[in-house]
Amino acid sequence: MTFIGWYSRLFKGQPPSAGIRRIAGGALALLLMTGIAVAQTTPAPAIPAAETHVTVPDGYILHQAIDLGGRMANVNGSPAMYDTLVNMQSGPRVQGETFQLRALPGTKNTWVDNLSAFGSGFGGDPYSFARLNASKGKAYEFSGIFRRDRQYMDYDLLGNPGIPTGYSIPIGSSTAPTGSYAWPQVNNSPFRFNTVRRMTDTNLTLLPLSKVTYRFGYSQNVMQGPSLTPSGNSVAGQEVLLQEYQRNSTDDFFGAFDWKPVQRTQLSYEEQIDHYKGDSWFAMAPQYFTVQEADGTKVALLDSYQQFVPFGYSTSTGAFTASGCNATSMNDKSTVLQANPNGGLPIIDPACNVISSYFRSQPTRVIFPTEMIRFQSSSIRNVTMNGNVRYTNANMNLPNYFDRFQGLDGTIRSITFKAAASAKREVMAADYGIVWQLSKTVSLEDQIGYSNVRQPGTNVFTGGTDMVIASATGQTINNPNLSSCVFTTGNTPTCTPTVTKAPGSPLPGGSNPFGTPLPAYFGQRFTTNNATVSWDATPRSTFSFTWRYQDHLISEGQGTGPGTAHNVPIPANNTNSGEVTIHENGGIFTAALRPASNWNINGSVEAIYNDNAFTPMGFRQLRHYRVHTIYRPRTWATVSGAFNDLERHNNTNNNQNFPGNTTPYYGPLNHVDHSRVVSFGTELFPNDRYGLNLDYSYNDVYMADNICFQGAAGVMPGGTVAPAAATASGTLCGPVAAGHGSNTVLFGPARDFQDAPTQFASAAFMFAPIKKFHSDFGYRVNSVKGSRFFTDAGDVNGSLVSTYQTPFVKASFTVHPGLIWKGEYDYFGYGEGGRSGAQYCNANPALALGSTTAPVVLCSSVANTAMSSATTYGFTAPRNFHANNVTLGVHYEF
Amino acid sequence: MQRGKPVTKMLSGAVPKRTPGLRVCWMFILGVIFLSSFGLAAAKPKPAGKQEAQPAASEFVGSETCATCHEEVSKGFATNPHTKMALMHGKSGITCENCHGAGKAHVDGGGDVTKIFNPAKASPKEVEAKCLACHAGAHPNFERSPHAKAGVSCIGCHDIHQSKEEALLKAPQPTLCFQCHADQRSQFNMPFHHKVNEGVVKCSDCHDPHGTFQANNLKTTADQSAICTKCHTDVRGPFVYEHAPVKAEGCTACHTPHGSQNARLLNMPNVNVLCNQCHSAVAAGAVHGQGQGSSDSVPCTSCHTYIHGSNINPAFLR
Repeated sequence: MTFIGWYSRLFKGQPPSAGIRRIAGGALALLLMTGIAVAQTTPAPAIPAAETHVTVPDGYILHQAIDLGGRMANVNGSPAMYDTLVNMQSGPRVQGETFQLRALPGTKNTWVDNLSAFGSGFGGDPYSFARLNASKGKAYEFSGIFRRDRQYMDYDLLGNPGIPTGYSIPIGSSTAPTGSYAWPQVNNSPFRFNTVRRMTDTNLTLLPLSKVTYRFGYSQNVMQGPSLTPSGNSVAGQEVLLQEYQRNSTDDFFGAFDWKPVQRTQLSYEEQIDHYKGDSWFAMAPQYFTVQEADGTKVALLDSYQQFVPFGYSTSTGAFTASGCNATSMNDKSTVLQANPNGGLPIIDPACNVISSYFRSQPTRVIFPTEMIRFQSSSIRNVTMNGNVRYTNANMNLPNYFDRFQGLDGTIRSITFKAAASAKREVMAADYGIVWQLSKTVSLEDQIGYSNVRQPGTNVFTGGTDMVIASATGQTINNPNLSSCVFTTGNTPTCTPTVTKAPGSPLPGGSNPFGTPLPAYFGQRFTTNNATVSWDATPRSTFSFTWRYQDHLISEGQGTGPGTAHNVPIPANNTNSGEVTIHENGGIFTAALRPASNWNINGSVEAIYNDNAFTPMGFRQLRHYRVHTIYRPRTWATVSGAFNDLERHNNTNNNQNFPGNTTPYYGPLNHVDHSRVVSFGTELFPNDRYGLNLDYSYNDVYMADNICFQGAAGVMPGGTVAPAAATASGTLCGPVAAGHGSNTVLFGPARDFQDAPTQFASAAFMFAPIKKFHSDFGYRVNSVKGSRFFTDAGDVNGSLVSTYQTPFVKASFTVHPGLIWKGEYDYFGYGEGGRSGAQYCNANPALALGSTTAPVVLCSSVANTAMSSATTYGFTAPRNFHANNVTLGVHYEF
Repeated sequence: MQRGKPVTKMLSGAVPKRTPGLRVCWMFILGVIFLSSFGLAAAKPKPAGKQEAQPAASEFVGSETCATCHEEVSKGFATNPHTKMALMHGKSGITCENCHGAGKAHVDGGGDVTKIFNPAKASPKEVEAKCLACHAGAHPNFERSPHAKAGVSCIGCHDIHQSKEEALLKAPQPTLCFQCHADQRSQFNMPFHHKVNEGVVKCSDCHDPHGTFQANNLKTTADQSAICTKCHTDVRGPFVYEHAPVKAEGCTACHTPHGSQNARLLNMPNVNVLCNQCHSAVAAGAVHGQGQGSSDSVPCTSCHTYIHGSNINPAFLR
């Protein structure tokens, strides 16, 4: 038997080995021990297997195989991007292992008829997999699967870190500096992930063929590891970079029984209990500590970590204002940093606002108990039906939210507050489906669904403390003269000793005062009916038509306090509370044809209309065209094709049509999105010596909306550009609303769009001139030549203009049966290109669509000279890499 | 709070705990049924399918006779879940004639193909009927599924006689699925994709090809939330402050699940242009056209870090 695991998967168009999986080791050990145990219960002499210490019990066939080897990876270019997309590293690997124990026919008194385990991945690859199956006649069936997935993600969604390289701020007086300090660039994406997800699923079925069958299951899903995340203005009202240590897990227990009271009828009762544990906590990202206090405490700038004016020093203009410091308490207002005589990080003036530590924890628990009753019956002649009723009453509990900042924020030395939250999710759902074979060629079917979700919750800040510098002067981080200001109710603290404290400072916007609950509600109800008539026009053709109706009620009361009217139609201009109802009507026509016994073709046309939409980009009209065909001219030849076109539109103002609503709305939204895919594939394997696999796909993905959007002077790279305010054009843009600062301006109207035409092609060849030699080689490429709307001059196209190619060569040589040497070469090449920030760094004062009065930042006005319409990148160079990976291994069967 | 009672009155205060009595009652009922069913199982051990009327015993020839001509087919029976029971224990099990019908006429006719049921020549509905006679309990939605409407029968994906793959699949996932769904293959080869090709995730983790009550054969979790939250547990909620579109329109309102040109499988190239689609002045006054968008150089999610839902802040800041 040849079972070469990772190798065989490669030829099926998959990337290299899924790696070696640690758990498979445990599984193997368990299996080995199980095998020994089985042997001990069998008095007959065991049959030893060649080259193994495992005792094969009498009446069994045992097969084992292992794949050992290693990989050499050579990466050039962006290692972060390589790790994000590939993450295959160098090192020895256990590439796979197989254990199969099978009882011979007639074997009696055994615990297991079949026992098999397969593991792939040990030694450091990002993906691991292990599977264990066992069964014994009519007694039981067991299956277990473990999957491990390391997720590395370091891809800046905006394509540019906030502070470009090459900037420095003065050490000593800014008027007569004694040196300069290179301001560290934040090189990581603020949303970097380095997490691992472990998924375990086990199922045990007892008496699978009996009148009553019992099923049990346990699943666990754990995600853990560090990640970077911005603070979200929640650290003393500023945005600093945090490191989040995640550990989120679920334990899912499942028990059920199936009862077959009469022939072809089954009733089931299932109980499932899901327990979620969220134990993430946050601290300052270590790399963000860039300076130190005089006592050696490492601290960080208390301001936006992506801003361009650290401590009031503009990296683009050289102007220095010490705006981040308490000027009256500074020793020298022109000096922020002093050189450290002992080397290391420069020393910052103690009157400058800094953060020395931050901690946040929010241990959350949710339990989801669900009861389900299912039935299925085809006992009635020409009628089949099934259905279920489900009820879930989930409870979320966050009893101890804790948040603490330490450092210096004006007069505040530390901020601490606590909160508690709870929420429920109550779901009542039922489904029913029936098929009636009306005649030999005509059938009717109906499917009804109902789901009602109610979800109330509330949150309250239970208390807080500010440590405030008591004296009017000397507002420095090392001033020991502090007052403790305690919040219990409202936003007016009680300070001891007494100081004047501005109310409400610790809490972020949108939160209620201390001690006052801020409840919220979400609910939705689906009522769905699909009625279908099918006609077998000929033995080779079937046509069906489905009429679909859905009533979708969405109810929301978001943080508006007691008495929130979430169960009435949403009022005009109220986007927080009320109900939205969407009635959906549509038809689906499906045809399935078999022009020949070796040719299948099927397709569908779907058209749906909604009389409302929940969000501006929700569709009102949908059309979906699908065609799939597969043709097998020979037993060794397959040709397939597919066309898939999904079109969605919403060109309304999306207003609520209810009596008395006369409020003028802006718009129209003019939402359009489509995904058009055409693909062809062929597999030709005329014999064992050679074969060919070709695939090609063209994806045309497009999405667009009319938008107007806010901006403000100072948000542009360089901080010196103050775009002029846009003139509202017609009714498309509404009035300017306060939002992002006093310099708010409204840009637009514009067409926010993404166009992503993508081509994918792959070719794989198999060549095995002799029985002992097998080779595969091929090439895969995915190329996107997209375009988009830019709102930021520092933005780049990124992966929207990219090419990703992965050619490969694999070969194996069978030394003798059961011993195979294998080798593989993979090339990974990824490159980005395209223009950046085109509309804002361009002499053409026009946005993509719409007003010509929109503001434009001339290229010459942007401080970073790299920012030019002629260049292909913005502040960040395109993320490119290429890697040469060689994998060697040996497959041994015993 | 009593079960089934509307929960709207709870808005004015903290959420009370659930009464444990009903849960205990459910568990008690479950336990009674569980124990009593053992008795039923012991009393009538024969499977329900055995009760169906069968042709006369003399019409059957036995699998050994079939193997004399169809040796290639019978080679894999030792590991075939259909036949292993009969081979292993010499009693209850499925052999050739359970699916193909009594074979005496076929044998007597010298292998007359018109005297035996051949699924390869039968219509999809005939094949389905044969398989669902035993498997309807496991796949009750199949007849209403998109695959059934498209004429894809059981033997389109399963090799009934022999397969190295689990569940007798003709090929492993996703290779098997891509044979027809060639339009999805390219999406899983985009720079950012769910790791289906790598073997971490299977098509059947999210889809049940035998049909569900959802569109596109999608599965759901027990509490009817999207299947995505089985793995992405941190966004399942319930949250005190839900980002309503996440639940009302689903994950696909912002993400393309199979694969995308965009990081984090987003529908748009970056977070800001994605958010601006809804949070724009164009939609001001319209349903959930909140805010006026932003051209800030930092991502919206730098502040609204808990964008899927928050238990602390209505603006999803923490």
